Amino acid sequence: MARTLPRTDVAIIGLGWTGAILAYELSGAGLNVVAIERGAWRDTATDFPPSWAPDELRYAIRLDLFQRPAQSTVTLRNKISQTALPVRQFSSFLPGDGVGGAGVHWNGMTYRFLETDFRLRSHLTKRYGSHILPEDMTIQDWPVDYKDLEPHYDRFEKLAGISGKAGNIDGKIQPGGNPFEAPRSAEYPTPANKQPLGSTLYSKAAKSLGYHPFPVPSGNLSQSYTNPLGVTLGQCTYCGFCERFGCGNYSKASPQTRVLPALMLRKNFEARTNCNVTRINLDSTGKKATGVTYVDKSGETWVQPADMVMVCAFAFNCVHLLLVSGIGKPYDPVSNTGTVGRNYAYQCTSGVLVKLKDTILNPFISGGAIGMSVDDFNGDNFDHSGLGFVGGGVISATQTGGRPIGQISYFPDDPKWGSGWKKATKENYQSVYALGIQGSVYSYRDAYLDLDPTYKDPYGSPLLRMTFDWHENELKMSAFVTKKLAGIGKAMGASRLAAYPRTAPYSVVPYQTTHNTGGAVMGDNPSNSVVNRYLQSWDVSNVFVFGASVFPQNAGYNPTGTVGATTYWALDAIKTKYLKNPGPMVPM
Amino acid sequence: MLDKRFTRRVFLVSSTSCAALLGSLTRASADTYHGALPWSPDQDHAPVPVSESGWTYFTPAEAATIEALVDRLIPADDLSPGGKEVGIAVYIDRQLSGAFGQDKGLYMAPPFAEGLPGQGSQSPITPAQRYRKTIDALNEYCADAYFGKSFAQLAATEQDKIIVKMESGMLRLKGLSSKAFFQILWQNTKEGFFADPVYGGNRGMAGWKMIGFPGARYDYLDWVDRHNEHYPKPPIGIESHPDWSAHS
Amino acid sequence: MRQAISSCLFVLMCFAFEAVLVPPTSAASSQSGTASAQTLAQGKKLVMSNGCAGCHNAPGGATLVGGRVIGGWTAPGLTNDKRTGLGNWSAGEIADYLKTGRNSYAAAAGPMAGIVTNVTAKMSEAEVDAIAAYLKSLPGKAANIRPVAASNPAMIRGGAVYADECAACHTLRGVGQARLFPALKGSPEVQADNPTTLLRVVLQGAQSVGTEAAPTASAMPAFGKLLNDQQIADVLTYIRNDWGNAAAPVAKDAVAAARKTLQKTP
Repeated sequence: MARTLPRTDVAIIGLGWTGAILAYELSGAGLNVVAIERGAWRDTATDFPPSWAPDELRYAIRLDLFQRPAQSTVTLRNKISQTALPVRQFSSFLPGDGVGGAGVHWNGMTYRFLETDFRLRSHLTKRYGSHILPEDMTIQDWPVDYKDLEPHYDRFEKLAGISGKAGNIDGKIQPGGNPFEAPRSAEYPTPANKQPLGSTLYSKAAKSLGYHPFPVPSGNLSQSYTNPLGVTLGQCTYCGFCERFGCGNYSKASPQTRVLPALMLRKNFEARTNCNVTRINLDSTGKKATGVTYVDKSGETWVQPADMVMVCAFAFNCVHLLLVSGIGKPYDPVSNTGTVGRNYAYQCTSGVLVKLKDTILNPFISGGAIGMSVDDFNGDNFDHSGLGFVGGGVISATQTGGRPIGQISYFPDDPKWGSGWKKATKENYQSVYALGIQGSVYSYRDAYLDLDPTYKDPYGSPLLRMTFDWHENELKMSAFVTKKLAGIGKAMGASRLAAYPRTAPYSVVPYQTTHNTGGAVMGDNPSNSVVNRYLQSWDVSNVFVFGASVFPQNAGYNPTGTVGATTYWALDAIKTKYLKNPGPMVPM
Repeated sequence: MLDKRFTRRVFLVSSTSCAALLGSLTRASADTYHGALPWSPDQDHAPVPVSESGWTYFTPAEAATIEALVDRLIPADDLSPGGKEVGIAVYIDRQLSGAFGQDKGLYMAPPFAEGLPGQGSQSPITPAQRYRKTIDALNEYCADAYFGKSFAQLAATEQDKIIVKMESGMLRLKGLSSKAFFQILWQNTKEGFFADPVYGGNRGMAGWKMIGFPGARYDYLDWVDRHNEHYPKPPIGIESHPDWSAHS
Repeated sequence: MRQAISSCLFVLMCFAFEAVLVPPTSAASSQSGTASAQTLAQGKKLVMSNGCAGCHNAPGGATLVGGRVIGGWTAPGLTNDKRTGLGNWSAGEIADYLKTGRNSYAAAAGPMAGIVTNVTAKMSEAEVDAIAAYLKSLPGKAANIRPVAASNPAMIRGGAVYADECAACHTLRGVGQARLFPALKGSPEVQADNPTTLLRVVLQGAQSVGTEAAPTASAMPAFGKLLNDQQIADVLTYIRNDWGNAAAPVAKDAVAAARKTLQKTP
């Protein structure tokens, strides 16, 4: 029997980046805020200090900081005609868990999307004609423009202290930065990182081909920095343990190192950990949320009444909560009705291996977001006429670490075990560099999320079912952009090279990326979206959804910068409009 | 070690003085944080080094089989000592008796259906079970094919031939997938060669020394822009620091 | 949170000045020459009325030269002495520390965390400036100690421990990171005759204070399980005697004794 707790103004589900930012801002506005987090509390000195943070087995192989599939997972099928089976062990994507969420174990790459990414459908049809888009492609314009988000991108970058070099300040192209980026109002808060050998060689080669390399905007800080909340972050020591790890010396931007110290001083904020929200409760009209129900770690059920419910979990879990709570109409691809679960997208990653002569790459001297990128083949930065696809990706040299179990690259004909493997391992470690692409994935009628009919989580709810496969457009994009990357690899003087464009079908086995997006997308009307331009549910106006599940389709960049920007954008509207006059902020 | 995350910080709610001082902050078994960034002295979630001797999961016969297998996968040569000597079998034994061996934390609810390769493993067999059953079947196969000998008693060339067959899945082992076993064995072997020595393998940091990985170091600030130079310091592990006692 | 509570209780007992404090040698020089007699008198009055002497006077009673062990923490000196007092800090740095709990060199922890939160952070700018001016006017004891030689085996071993376990935050040069990780070079806490605070902080870890003005509250991990008595003695001897620091070596037995004490009264 559920017990009911005293009412609060705001209940936040999930205490990662978006939950922490919301909690700080809304408690600052005088509201009582309770954050309910499924995982444990985590802090630097206790959970991942430098002495034992660099433990590849524990963190990168056994995935200590990640969601346990036993607690929550998804089922997968490639086609509607197939039977979905549970992802019993995460590997293609790795949802985070615990306080800080994915912000603890991320690499720190903090891009802004392109101006054209936000008006994707209208831009592409205007430039190329509507025939360029496949019939089943369901991309749509964002209900916000880059200009709306610019101040909020800036705000998130200043919160995190991002290190980088601007390429376009107020329309003026800046040498050394990304000339394709949308105009920024300011330089990055901290200068670009120093570059190791591999990305330096990449940058030189890209330049020789006429491309425009720029330093990856990085949450691994080039120097100490105090953010507007007064919280100080340290200088990155290039230890090479960002990806899948917590940072031991306060130098990677995370909710822990950027927001929580200031948030926890707020008397009107409380965090509850090891508490799993199982549903958002609605009143009898179904139009208003009354709070949330959660199960604590002893298995006891609690009801937390709240005036506002902020859904700040990982993309999958946000969509799952909406579906099990009956908020919005579930998407049905056959009848093409409903919206919840629609436009699930992913990221189409691919890579190129290059073997470099006479190099000592020291791959262990690195950071998650330290490297160089080229944006010449991202989004619509290049002419797609006659190419047979739309979209693109950021192509980068970012060796995130030199972890020996998982990060040594081999060519297909290298021996697989025995003395030959040992020889190849030793040689490749210092000479083989893996270049990579974060490719866009556009949305389609048959790529979506709904509830699985068979498999359930430990709380008795159906698992989320993912129906997803690669489409012709993305495979062609991947082939094209990977070829361009291979060209840079050749120009690096590679003595051997192997290109790996993405191939179908989609598989959950090899790690690709944790940039799962969509399912609760934002849009300009209730027929094409779950939330409005202020991330407010069309159906239940005191429920808001944050994070990448609101992206209408995925761009060719890491998502965190845009997650931060959309969060601050919506917060502004909540503070200036909603709190004064609770109710729908966009008329239906 | 991995389970501590589920039980820690219970003290927060067990301390009544804490609650009295900071206001009512307990909610049954929720871990509740309020008023200050939580921290408490003497917290340490470092890995506990595994025991150095004996077997925690394998029988002596199973251990001998695994030692023979890892000694062929990572043979002794001029690059490093062999898999047995660097403790890979010990590493695998400790993993199988721990959370990994039981598939702890994975989604193991039925029904188990045969899936497509892209749907990932759908096997109800835990790694610990897979090792036990397959080692048994492998030795039975060897006894049949090599006049009663176990895998460990075969000559290296014969062992290699069997491994090649396992790798391709051609070795028939009483209905068990020899390929699935090879994959998990090879993955665990690499782990035992390259994981921190606290887990029982990578003795003397031999795997790290072979490739020039400096191990659990955390500060390369002075080295990031020294391109094409060999990093001069030897590896260290979480509990492996030879130079701390070099001048005793 | 326990730490916060013990700090609060501590406030009731006495006023202390603690720190995992610190300073390098460059920006030093006393500013007391520029402070008016009135300011110095106000500073002195504030120091006395807030009970700073209760912790920071010497065991024998000498004014604010530090050395008392209270609640398991050594109170450092507050005089203008460069080795065991605040001689390396400018008056501005002292005021910053009192107001926010941290400055370029140091961050308050232990009992002083509660003092900052409940007392000094609530003072006016003029008040913390007056205290700073007064402290800068105290000449200090200025004892000369020869550092332990770099060739000493304990220094070599301790330097190795330091490079592996400490440098990622405190840096190889011992200067830390401003407003985040305390500098060890030039620190009165590190060079205090009595290493009780050092032993506690290395064995159990410590959290720095978070204030409205400087909320960071960065924490030092506990090394009590990772390092044995000899290793802790070595690394403490090392940080007390490199980078121009000088203090008596720390013996293995002192570490063992500190472990026992902390087990009884954490």
